[in-house]
Amino acid sequence: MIESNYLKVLFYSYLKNNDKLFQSVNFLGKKYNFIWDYVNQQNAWICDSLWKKLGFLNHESDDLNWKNILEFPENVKWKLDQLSIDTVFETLIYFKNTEGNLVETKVELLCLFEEDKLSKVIGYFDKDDFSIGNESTFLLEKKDKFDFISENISDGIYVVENDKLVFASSVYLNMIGFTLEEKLANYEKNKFHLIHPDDLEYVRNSIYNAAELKKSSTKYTYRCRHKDGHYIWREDIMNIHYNETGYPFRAVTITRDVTKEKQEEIEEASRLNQVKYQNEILVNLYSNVIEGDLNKKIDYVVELAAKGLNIDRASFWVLKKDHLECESLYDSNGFMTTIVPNLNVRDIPKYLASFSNQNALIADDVYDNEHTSDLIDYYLKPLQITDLLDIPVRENGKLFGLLCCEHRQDERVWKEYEITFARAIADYIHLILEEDKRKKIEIDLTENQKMFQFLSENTSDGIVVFEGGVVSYVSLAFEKLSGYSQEFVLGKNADQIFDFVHPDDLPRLKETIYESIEKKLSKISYEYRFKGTNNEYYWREDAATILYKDDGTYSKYIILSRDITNRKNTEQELIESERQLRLITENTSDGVAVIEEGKLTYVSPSFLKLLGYKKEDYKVFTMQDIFANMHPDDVEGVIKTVYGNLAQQKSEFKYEHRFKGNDGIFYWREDSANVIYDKETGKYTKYIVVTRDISKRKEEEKERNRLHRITEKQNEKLVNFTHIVSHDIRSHTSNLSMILDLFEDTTNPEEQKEYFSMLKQSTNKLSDTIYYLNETVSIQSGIKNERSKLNLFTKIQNSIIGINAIIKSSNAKIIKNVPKDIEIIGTQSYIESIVFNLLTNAIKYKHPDRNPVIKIDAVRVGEEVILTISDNGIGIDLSKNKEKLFGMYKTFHGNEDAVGLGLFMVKNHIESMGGRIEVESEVNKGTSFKIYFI
Amino acid sequence: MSKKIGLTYIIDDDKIFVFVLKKLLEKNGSFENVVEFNNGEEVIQNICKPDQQRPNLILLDINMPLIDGWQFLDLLETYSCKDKHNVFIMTSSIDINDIKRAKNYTTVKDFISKPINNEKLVEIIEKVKL
Repeated sequence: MIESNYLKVLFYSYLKNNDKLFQSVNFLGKKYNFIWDYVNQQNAWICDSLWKKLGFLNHESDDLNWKNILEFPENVKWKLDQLSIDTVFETLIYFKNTEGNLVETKVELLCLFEEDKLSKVIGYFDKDDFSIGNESTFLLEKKDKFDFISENISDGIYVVENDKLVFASSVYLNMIGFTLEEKLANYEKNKFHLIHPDDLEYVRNSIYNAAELKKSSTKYTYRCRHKDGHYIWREDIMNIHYNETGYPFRAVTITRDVTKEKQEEIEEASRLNQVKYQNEILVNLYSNVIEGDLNKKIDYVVELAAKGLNIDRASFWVLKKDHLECESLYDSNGFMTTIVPNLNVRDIPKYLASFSNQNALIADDVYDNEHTSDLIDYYLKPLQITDLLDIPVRENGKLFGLLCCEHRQDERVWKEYEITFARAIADYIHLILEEDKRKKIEIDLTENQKMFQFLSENTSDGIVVFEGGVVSYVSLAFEKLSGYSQEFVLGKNADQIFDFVHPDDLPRLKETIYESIEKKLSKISYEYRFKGTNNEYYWREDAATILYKDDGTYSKYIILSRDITNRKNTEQELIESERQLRLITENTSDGVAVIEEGKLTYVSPSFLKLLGYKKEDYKVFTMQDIFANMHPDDVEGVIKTVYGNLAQQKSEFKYEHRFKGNDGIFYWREDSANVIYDKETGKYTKYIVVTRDISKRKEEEKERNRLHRITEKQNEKLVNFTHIVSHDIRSHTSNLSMILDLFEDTTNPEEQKEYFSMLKQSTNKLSDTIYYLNETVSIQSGIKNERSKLNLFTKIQNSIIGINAIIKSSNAKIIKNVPKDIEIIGTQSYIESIVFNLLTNAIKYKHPDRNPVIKIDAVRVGEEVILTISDNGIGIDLSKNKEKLFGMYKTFHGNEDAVGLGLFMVKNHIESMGGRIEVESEVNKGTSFKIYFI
Repeated sequence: MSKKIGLTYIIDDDKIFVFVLKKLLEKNGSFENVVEFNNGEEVIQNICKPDQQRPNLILLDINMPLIDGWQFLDLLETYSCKDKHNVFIMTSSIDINDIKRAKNYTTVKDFISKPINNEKLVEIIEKVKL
């Protein structure tokens, strides 16, 4: 107390001596003050008005622990520690009020120094600096205001602090029907005790999640149990307050009874649901065909009526001569099998009368309705029916039956949409009755079946019914199909409808319809263009069923309408393309054939011309026949190409092949195939082949290739020949020039003599070379090529005689096996030269260890004659020499007398006669030449 | 003209050419020892034998029986001693394809077209790596 007093004294002395402080407190009204001893930090003094401001009305002494209410934030302390001289600065500090809440305030701190050390801190501020934005500041002066508001608004308010209910407004208590004490007691036990079990988790989550996320408020709607047990809908907005550690210590909740709104909302939702469900039922009904006989259909529809209206009972009654008979009954309680007694017409006059002038009997309360009074004893009471909605089904204007929709116990008001639904169901019953009647009338059952299939497969078919000359019914599907609303179409007469028909189709359409009606046809169909909402015409196919009255006029004209625009367009395209195709196929020289299912289904006139077969021939052609008539060399390639492409579903491909014509000759053709495939199976459905005779082209191609090959060969020969000429002549001339150089350089007569002899040798060799070259040119240009028929045996015999001397001197043995009757076409001198060359070679290159044995064989193979001359000589290493064997000036053995021209000449001779030569040889074993003559 | 070629091989089947070439080599005076072969076979069989004296220069014809010039060069390529040889092709061919082909062989130092004269021999001597 003394300590605090010394600070109070100090404060006032500072106040007197410090102009700024004095001004602030006295003139600026900053009368909330405190002083803190910075040296002895446990000491502080807080002025009375500040205590009061914080709610401590009756604090009795200054020795109250000031630290409980005043708190210097860390950043302020840090700032103070940094000071070095007297300073004033503004900062935020916190007070704690009586409620334990933190109050934030802006304060000016005057920091005083003594002996260079911070000694005292004086704080001063005015009441406006208290942060009053936070409504939770339960400062005393505000409490009244809060109480006033909370008790006077229509919304209930309650406050929970640290899990205790600290306040509950009377409006809130009224809402839940508890007294404050009861509520408190209950709250102690379970704070969620009023929440509907189904909503409990949702509410808890809303609150705890909000607290978790430090949200300042959360809103949730739930069912709350009133004290008397019934549930009310409540919408709560909970404001959550957090202390400095983030702990949610208080919740101020504003609550509102939203039962009425909620009920309306639920009702609207259930209404929408029901309407949606009803629409689904109707759409289903009108777009599908129900299987089974009439009774089953009615049973089905009656059940749908009960389900669509969410009622206990629905039934369909038929008016007989003197009673109403229940044809079909659905009862959710399982009374379906119960036999319902007939109602005598005489007993229920009021009830029946009610249908004479209205389209529905709507009774929200059957016991208080004039029209249903007849039924009470006979029917309603025993079945505990409370509500009733009955719709008449008429035929030709007369009451035929009744669709009865009934509900038990719970009173209900029939809504407009429910009545509409019931009417639609009744309409449908009417439709199926009509249908049934029409079905019975119709003899052609299969046709009917088809139509039903047609109907069932095409749920998009719209239904339009004409009655009494105007449209009496339009299905939803039709609305979708045409784009015109039901309201728009309903009531239109035939002529008004005809306005929508394309002018080109109208006369035909009218004729069809009126003639059919005149002839009393019950079923017709027609196609026409119908103007859509966008003024474009759409193709439509109507299947109409016409029911007639006894007087011959139609009673009902039921149209099943479908959009066939796509089909029509495709048809049109097809007609167009078919027309074009015909034009092309009939006028082109290329043949066109169509293969379907492995058969030729179409052949164009030009196709017939191509190979000379008749149309009838082709018609019986199978694929096997087709392939069998192809050239054996081509058929495999064609099959590969065709089936390969078909497997890949290629739509276009080409191939060439030879096909046997009717005359047995193969013709070259080029086929361009165009294939159409089945999208589902992937198999081809149409194989259109455009075929062209390319025999001429092929012939030309062949000839061109042949000429090309010849030219190539000749060019090659020419290049070779040029090289040979240049090389061989050069080798001699270079020798000659070198010898002449040497000759000139010397005066020695002996040497000169030697060079002269060399000159002579070289010159001789040059003239030999030129002779052989000339010979080659002659052979190749065919100058000496005078062909005649020659006997091979004789020619060989002559050749052997010609070299008899050599044969004898070399001890050679010749084994001849040549038939005497073989004749060849050739040039005599060439054949002699060939045989001569080969025989002398065989002797020349004999094996040093043995005498030569030469075998000569000749045989005719087909069109060729093969002459074989083999020896047992030294052989030629073909791996090294095959390339140059038949070249000019090639010798392989380094023999003195080898001139290197023999085989070159042999090859030239044979080739000039159109034949060829082959060689086989093995070193040290022998060589075998095979000469092929044509 | 101080450079001397110790051992020269002539591989050519044209006897007249070989006779004339030997005369030219003799007259030139730089070729100390000249040995002739009428095809490449014997040479290629012995050329890498250690006991055989290595020729300092090989004058090689292309068109020959048994093993021709190209075959000889192909075989020589497979020999470990190939880099030690100075091969000069001497041919009457002036075919550009032959000249191009000769360049593929590292052993071939030059392609000399016949006829041969002393100037060409002097060039060869210069190019020989001893």
